[in-house]
Amino acid sequence: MKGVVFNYLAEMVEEGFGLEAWDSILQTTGLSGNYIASETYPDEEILMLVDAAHEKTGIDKKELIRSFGRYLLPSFREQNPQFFEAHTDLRSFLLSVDRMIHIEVRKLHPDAALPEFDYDEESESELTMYYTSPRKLCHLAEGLIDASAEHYNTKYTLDHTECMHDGAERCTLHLKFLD
Amino acid sequence: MDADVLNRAYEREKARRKKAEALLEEKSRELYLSYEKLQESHEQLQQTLDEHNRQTEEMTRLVTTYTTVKDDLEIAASLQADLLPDPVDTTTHAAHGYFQPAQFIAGDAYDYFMLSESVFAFYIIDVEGHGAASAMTSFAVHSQLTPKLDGICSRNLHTCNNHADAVIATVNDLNNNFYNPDSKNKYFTMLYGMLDLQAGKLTWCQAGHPALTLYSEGKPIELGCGGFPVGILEEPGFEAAECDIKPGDRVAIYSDGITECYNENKGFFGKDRLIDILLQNRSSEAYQSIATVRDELLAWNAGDEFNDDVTLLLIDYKKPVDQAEWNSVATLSL
Ligand code: HEM
Repeated sequence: MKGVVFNYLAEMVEEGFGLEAWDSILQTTGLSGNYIASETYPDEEILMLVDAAHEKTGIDKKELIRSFGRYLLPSFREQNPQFFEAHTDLRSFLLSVDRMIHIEVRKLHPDAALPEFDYDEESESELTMYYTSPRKLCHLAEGLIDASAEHYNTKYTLDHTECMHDGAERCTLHLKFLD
Repeated sequence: MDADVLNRAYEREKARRKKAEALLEEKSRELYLSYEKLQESHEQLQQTLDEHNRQTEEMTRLVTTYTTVKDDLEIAASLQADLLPDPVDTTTHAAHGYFQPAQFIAGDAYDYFMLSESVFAFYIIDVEGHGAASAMTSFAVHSQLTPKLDGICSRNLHTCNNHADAVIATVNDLNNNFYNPDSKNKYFTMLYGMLDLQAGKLTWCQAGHPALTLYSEGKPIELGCGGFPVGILEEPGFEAAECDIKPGDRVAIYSDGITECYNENKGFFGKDRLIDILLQNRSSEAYQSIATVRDELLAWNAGDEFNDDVTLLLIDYKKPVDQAEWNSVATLSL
């Protein structure tokens, strides 16, 4: 994971729960907390931090990660508005995540820790995203999707029918777009 | 807020900043090294480019020179072809030649002409090597032997007591003109002869050239006296040979480009094959016999390009000069 992700997490926790909360989370995990945006750090550290944040705030871990996804998306958008401007609807934007956005990210940062998405394009109003990643950050994807839907002003439902956390080989995120 | 919390946050930020600065410094250094490498590559590229440009210029110059030389050689080749005599066919004699240079221009040459009302003179030369340098010598010999009143052929015919002395004198004159131990002059073999159309006598001087073949009464006779090439020795001691020639006889003279024509599978064309083909075609007109030799030779060579210049000269003696007829022709042309 890139340091920038850690820094956004720190930002989110500090904004929501104060500096003390983040400080205590670092104390619990014993991690130094001085992350440099462009450097790469072990994936386990982000999971340790999420665990500690859950302990500290009592918020459900999945919900915490989802929130983090929601928190991350605007920053992504600020830095790469062209990815959003290229699409006028949520469905085609989500299709571009694996086919275009993450491919561009990989070009700039060959060591980026990126998930893999497969798609089932059932219909104009339905889309299934299959998520695979050793980090199992499927709830981060949920948060990112939710914030993206807000950006495109789209109502939708999401069924997380199969999950890697339950032993599935990949997560199935079934999306229905409502108008 | 707990002061410790603030303190730790401050220390974290300080550590982060220090790390970031160190990282920045390291990246700057890397960047600078990359820049230096890039500059080095750029210089190398520039050098390669310069070298390439130089080579291109050199190439253009060479191509231009080559084109000029090639054009010049083509002009020289057509000049050389113009110098060759046309076939001759009179009531008394006939002469035909075959000439094929190895490159554009040749070191081989031949010519024939009337030196007097009854003397038909002929020569064949083969300058060592072939190409431009040999052709220059061949041109020079040609110009010295050109039949003009003050030319060496005419002069020797008129000042010498007999034809034998005259042919020796002519070859000696050439030797004097071309022998120069200090220069890189090319030497050449030659056969210079005179056919006395009235007396039926053939007189010649052979200077290192292949012997002539006389076809008389259905038989080929090789007649030769060897001799040194012209331009090698100061006093080569050239000799003359002489024989009677009867109406109906044919004389064949050739350069070694024919006999030494090489075929990878079959070897040299050889003297015997040439003499034999000419014998088989003895009753044909001279130009027909020559065409046959040419075809056989091209087939042997397996291609149009010869390794050496190729020359063949056939002279037919038909009948003695009719003095009355000659006089009438002479009067007409006056
Ligand atoms: C402009 C939009 C986006 C950009 C620039 C972007 C870029 C990135 C970057 C830089 C990372 C972190 C790489 C690392 O830490 O080494 C990442 C991770 C991730 N991205 Fe995106 N992303 C975008 C949109 C999305 C969206 C819409 C989704 C959800 C469908 C998504 C799903 C994920 C997930 C789940 C991860 C976590 C890593 C993992 O699961 O293995 N991304 N992305």
